[in-house]
Amino acid sequence: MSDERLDRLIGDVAKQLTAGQPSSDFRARVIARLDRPPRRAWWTSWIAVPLSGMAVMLIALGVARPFMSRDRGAGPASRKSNQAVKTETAPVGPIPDTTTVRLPPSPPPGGFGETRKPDTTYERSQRGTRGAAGGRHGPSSGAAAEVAALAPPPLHVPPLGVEAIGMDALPTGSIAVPQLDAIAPIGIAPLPADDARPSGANDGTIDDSRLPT
Amino acid sequence: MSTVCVSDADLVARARQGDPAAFGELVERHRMAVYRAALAALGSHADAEDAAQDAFLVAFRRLDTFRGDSSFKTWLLTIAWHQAINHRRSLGRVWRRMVAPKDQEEMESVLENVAAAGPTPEGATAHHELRRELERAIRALSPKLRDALLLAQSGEYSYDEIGTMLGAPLGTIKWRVSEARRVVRARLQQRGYVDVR
Repeated sequence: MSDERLDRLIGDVAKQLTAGQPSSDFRARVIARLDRPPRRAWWTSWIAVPLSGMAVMLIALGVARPFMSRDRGAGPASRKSNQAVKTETAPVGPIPDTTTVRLPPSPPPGGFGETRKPDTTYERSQRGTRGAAGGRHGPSSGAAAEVAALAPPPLHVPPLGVEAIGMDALPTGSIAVPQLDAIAPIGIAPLPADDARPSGANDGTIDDSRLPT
Repeated sequence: MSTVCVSDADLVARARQGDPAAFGELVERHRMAVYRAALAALGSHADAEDAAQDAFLVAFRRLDTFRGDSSFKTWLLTIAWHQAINHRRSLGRVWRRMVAPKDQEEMESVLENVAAAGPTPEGATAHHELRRELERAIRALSPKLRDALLLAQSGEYSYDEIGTMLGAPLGTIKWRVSEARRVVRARLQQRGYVDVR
């Protein structure tokens, strides 16, 4: 087959591949579509959907941030409640002593004769903190209740009553100190003016009489 | 109003003012060129019809951007080619081609009809086989070579218009057409359809 004929054949086949006519109502279809809103491309949904999802998440985060920071601002109370829970559940650790008796530095108006109640200030403050924390954090109060249920029963130790020492029992008399004997002054005789040393002082001998006994 | 002697520029001006009949006339005048460009890119009549309609819609919405530096047909063909390439790249179309390779069968039946016009049964069969092999060789070309060859052989476009559509210089388009022919010939020689000199 000659090149010329082959080229002509290639041209024929290529023309066949692009031969064809649009449908007879092509014009009417185009005109009908002019008034319709434009069709979205197939890839727009693949991009628009994730983008809108991200936008919703960002907006939700932006809305939730002030509330989150407010909760963080109320942190000390919640931290206290957490610490209280930890203290209750910890198997080993300092247990607040509710039986400690603290005596005031000055005598009370009623005097020292009456028995003082144990100082339960710590316990009351703990109770108040727990109540406040439970009021603010609904879900954490449930957890605290569970922990409280697992905690051992509280110890009921009767307060130790310490009898105050009465003022009458104290010795009121003055302490008598006996008079000490007067000490006689020690007289020291002045040294002689010529300060004569005894003979043999530099001869290597020692005068035993001058040594202290 | 008759539009037979009205130029494209006048129709464009009237379409810009909201005259759908003027744009309809533009559609009627250029639908074949637009459709065949889409067919050259897509190889499927159904896809080419969709792409051609989309091209006219896009052109209508962008009429304000047409400055008249080139002819309306060239401007419209550039839009049509981009629309066809977008269709070609779409995943949906790839999927349809995988599921229902209908267009291949369509094209084969067309070629069979052409081949049936041979002088003798033996000659017709040989001619038919050669055409099928040619078609396979053209389809196997790289997109750049195939597009240039199909557009050039369609008879609808000048080389300048093809260069504008494909965004390549005139010399490049000519080289692509020539290279496409050479590659097809080489393939036919490989298969024994053409004598090797």
